[in-house]
Amino acid sequence: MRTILTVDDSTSMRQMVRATLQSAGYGVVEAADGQEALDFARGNNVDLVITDVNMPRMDGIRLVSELRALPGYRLTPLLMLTTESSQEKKLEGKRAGATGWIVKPFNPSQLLSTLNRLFATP
Amino acid sequence: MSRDPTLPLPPLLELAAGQLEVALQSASSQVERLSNSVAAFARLGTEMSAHPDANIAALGARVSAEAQRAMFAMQFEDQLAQRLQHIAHALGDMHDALAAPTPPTAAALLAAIRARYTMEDERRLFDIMLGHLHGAPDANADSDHEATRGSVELF
Repeated sequence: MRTILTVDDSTSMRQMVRATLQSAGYGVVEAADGQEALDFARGNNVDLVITDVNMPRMDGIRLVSELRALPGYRLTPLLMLTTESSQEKKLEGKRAGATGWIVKPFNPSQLLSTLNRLFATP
Repeated sequence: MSRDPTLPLPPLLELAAGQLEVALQSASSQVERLSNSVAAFARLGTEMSAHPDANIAALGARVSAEAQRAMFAMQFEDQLAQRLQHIAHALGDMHDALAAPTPPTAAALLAAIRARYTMEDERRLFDIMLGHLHGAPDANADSDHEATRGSVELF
């Protein structure tokens, strides 16, 4: 089973993402901010990360940058899921090493088809 | 008519910010309960969809579809909470500026408030209403957040 780490400071958003991913058979691990996610990632590998941008303690762009520095996360798909839609922020995320950018609210079936595309890419 | 000099603007701004924070916190627990229920329906739909009885499986597919629609709609609460937080923070910034012995310039205060926004339509409204005060870019130059909602871009 593939495992996905979801990072968001909103409990309800994490519940929505978890329900969507579990409906497609993914295992899900949750973190409430970038620091908690990074602490988890230092000792564990996952198949994909979905992270919000604006969070306390450590934001999503910094998290992506920190994850890319870990040997186990150099090739892991890292998706941003955020209300931010400015080109400036997207570019910042891309430079940090993000794989893609999804603007909230997400469409559950569209999220799953995006994951299928990413996992199908060799 | 001139403003009453005894009007307690800083505490009123602080009160407004505090009221917003309290409202957000009290709504949050109920929203979590609701999202938990919707997530439970989504799980139920998934389990029913895999049932060997075709009628139950078809019912499960309908439950799943409805749960997905509910999950999409519920995310607007997350946006609403963010918008209200930005308003509360802006009120806090205004309070701090009025109460500071050396207040920031108007341009610095406006820039700080705008920098907190995360949604394009927040920035657009700010620029339309206050852009002339701080030399913001043309509001029409920003993309429309309505058009970007739910968009997926792979790099």
